[in-house]
Amino acid sequence: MSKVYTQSLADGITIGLGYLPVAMAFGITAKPLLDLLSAGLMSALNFAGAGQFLTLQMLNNSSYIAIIIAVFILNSRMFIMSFKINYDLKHLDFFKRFLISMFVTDESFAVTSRYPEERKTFIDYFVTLFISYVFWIVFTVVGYLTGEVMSDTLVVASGIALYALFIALLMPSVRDYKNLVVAGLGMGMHFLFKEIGLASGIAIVLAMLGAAWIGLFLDLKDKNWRSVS
Amino acid sequence: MSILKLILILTVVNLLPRILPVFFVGKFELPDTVITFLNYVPIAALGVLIFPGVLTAVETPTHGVLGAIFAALLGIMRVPLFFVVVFSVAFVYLLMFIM
Repeated sequence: MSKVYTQSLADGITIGLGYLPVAMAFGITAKPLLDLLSAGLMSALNFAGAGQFLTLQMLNNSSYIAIIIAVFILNSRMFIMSFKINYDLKHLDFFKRFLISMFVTDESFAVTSRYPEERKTFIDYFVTLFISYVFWIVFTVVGYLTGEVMSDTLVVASGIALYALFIALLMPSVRDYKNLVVAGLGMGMHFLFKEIGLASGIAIVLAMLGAAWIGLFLDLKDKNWRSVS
Repeated sequence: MSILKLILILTVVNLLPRILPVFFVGKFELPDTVITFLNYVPIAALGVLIFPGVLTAVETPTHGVLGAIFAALLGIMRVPLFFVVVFSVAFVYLLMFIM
């Protein structure tokens, strides 16, 4: 197997491991509410961690319209992430970008965003995204079928997996003070926007855009300073 | 409306924001400021995705924070992603027995 495949395969499995506890938790939570086919279909077709949990939560006491609007707001951040991925891959043709974009998630966005130039290829992205997608579906079904026999402690402990992934991705870039400020502000703004009661999706989008905007501001200031000194 | 219909509508709702950029990108040149802005989006997103979610990720906020610090140390040591994920889960698993 070529190096490209093994690297992307490893990345896909890493994201997949992060999904594992979340997907299982989804399967377990869905069990009293949905039949296996619906739960599996939801993971296969919606592929939206938080969105799927939100759907389950609202299923009993909200109208379908309310669910659709809530999920739409929650997932609006995907537009920004997919936009960035499409920009990074703008040398690829329409069909390939279309195929990749269908599988964009927070995690795959975060992982692929630090791929160097030579890995900005269709195969690199697609393998990473598709492997993680398969994990999501498989472990939804596994959770649904075997949830009760799993060690609770291990399932709870694996809740750290996605956060460990995000933190490990963040670490190398915070050596640059601007990145440190942007990440810190992202955290602070998200916390603040949630505290003042904004809907989760809106809080995420505003914090993301706000923090990135500060990054742009710091960047411009840096450049001006360099050009006068 | 059946659950199946809801799932199908949600499929469209989930795909739409992911697919729309495919149609825009490449049609026009973006100004440098927009590109710089876009380059900060991943870092901003990571911050947003980590906090405050990590406080409710596992049994207690303390476990979450300690797990986060552990993952950060592994990240600084340039441990490959896969192992950061596996070791952090093991670390929190042990934490749950000792505190």
